[in-house]
Amino acid sequence: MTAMFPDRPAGLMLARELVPEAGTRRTYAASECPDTESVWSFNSLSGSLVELYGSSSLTALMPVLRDAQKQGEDVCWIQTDTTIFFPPDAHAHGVDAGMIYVVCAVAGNEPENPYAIAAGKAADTLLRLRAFRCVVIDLGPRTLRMAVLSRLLRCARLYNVAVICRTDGNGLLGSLVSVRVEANFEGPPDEGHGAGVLAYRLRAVKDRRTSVLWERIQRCGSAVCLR
Amino acid sequence: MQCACVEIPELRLQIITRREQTDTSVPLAVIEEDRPAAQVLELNAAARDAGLRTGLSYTLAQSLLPELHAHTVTDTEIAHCRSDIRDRLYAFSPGVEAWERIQGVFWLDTQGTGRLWSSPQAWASEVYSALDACGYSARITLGFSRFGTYVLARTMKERAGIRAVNTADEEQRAVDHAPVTCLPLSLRSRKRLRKLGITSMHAFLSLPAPDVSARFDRSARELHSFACKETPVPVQNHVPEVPVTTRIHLPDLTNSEQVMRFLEDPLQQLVLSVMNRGLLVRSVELTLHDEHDGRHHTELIPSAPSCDVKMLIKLIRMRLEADRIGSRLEQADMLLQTVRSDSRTQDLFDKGAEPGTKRAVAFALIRAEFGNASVRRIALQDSHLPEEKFAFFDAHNATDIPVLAYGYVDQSAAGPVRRVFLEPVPCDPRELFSSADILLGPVRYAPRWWIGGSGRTYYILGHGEIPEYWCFTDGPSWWLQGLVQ
Repeated sequence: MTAMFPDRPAGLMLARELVPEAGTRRTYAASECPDTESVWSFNSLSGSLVELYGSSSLTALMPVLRDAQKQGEDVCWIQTDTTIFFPPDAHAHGVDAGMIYVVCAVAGNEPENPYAIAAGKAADTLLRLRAFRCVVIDLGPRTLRMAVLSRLLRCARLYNVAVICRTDGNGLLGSLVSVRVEANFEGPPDEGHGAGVLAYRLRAVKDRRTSVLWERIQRCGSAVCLR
Repeated sequence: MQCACVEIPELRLQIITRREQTDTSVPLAVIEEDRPAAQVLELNAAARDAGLRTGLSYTLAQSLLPELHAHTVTDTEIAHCRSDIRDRLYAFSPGVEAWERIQGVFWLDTQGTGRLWSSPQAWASEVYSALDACGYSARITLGFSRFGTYVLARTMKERAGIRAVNTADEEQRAVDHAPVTCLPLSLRSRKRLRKLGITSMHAFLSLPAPDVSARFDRSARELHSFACKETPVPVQNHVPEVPVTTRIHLPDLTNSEQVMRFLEDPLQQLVLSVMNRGLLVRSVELTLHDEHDGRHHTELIPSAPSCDVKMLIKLIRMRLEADRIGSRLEQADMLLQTVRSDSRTQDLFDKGAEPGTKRAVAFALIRAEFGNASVRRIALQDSHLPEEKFAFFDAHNATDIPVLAYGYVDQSAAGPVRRVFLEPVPCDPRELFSSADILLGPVRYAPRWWIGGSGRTYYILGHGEIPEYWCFTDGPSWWLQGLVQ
């Protein structure tokens, strides 16, 4: 190791030397999986740049928003198109939609990707001024420039803000994200849960906080609840 | 006693009577415009006794009563008259508020008048005499709240006179028992209230605010909101607003940086004059005139009323850079909207570290760059149609956001969350149904069926048990309302 880094000051150790499993891709077994509170809550995501994607990404986001609001933090939702989460559904999850500030910005002077550029600028302004501790950027198929992501990550760490980017695909935001989570609906989990119950699986594709990958299955009501 | 209401009933008619010096036996009407189809707005007693009613067209009214005299009153005349009355009322109280919503209604702050007049009634008599001497018939009521005194005035049987209540409870009882028809509601709102069996003021004020905003027109909404304010608002004294404006000549500039160089000094001068008057800048309205006589109007709102020139310059620069005006600019008009500076407003600037202030600054910067409508808040609405179940409100005017109490939420029954398209997207049903199964539906909504509104049939489509699409048909066509995510 010393041969690889000859200029390293004495006493400085690499993460992989401190934590043997750091950097390895080990999936937890169901029995030893960390509880949801420690990996998928507002507190655990504070200070991270999170990429969330998958078929149940909006549903998976709601517990985090509810958690933030329970702790007295307002949420800012940055829109990048003419769609938004359905507020009555969020209300059903215990999220106070009235306390979510929605920023819908378009950079009219940018010919390419005006929504994403505007979203990046707006998020940067909000984070730099420490206006919110929970910011959701609903990017969809769009992506943010590396420079913007880098600034967002720095602000998120510095001010302990949870910056959650909801995207349509795996890895759209590149390697800068701290946590990348896939959330997909699954059929009814097992007979014990009863009829009319749906589940979604939260799977960490990347997690710099724990350096290990985790999975959780969360239950929610089925399509009947959408009446 | 805390306040008094002075109502000049049928203000326009009184203006005409004063102007034309007509005899009371001559049937007189106020019409909205000088044309045959114009609506009759107000009638004097002689015309009413002859069987005429307001709302008729002038042609019809004259065919029923050929000797009818009709006149119009301009907005300038009304404004002049209101200003005249307000000036006269200042002789009796230092606090006079002219209600912007209804012409001819004034409130006076009566606190402190006890040392100058023997009783509130004696004070009211003098006000009455002063108005009567200059030809205005007025109803004067003494009470405890602005809305309460207004309702007391509206329910007086006499056209002019004085009425007083001794306690706030007495005033509240009088308001509760007053007929709702005493409020100046539109004909449509009155009909709707009659259908609902709402006749008393108490019943009207008991209606939930979101329902009133959903089902009634603006005037009813505003009156309901005014009456239901939890914290009583004292008389809002009129402060004359002097517009602070300037015109700047721009020598054919296209670059926003060059334009800013011409704007900075005049802006500083304007802000200085605002500061000298003890005011603060609420917003800056900037109108740029280009070589083709085009006008680019924009309004910049700082996070809080202030005299911070640097911040105002920053906001204007951000807006100009975002707008990117291509043509050559020849002239700029700058108008500063101001508010009174009080100690509470000034305190806001000393508390720079508060999160609320930081948020306001962040929103001000975002609004400057992306437009004033870029920061919004959501309010849930009571409606059947999905796109009407919520509405966006300007986050800057947080007081306008109606709150709908949904009550207890059973989170265990919370289902998947839908993404809603703010405008439904047309879709091909064959393509949709060939790739997905019906998981829920048909669910039929018939909004506004009583006025012939077309119904919608909703479906949730998906694969297996997993929902994906949220669509509906309104008969001939199919629409995608959203996705389940």
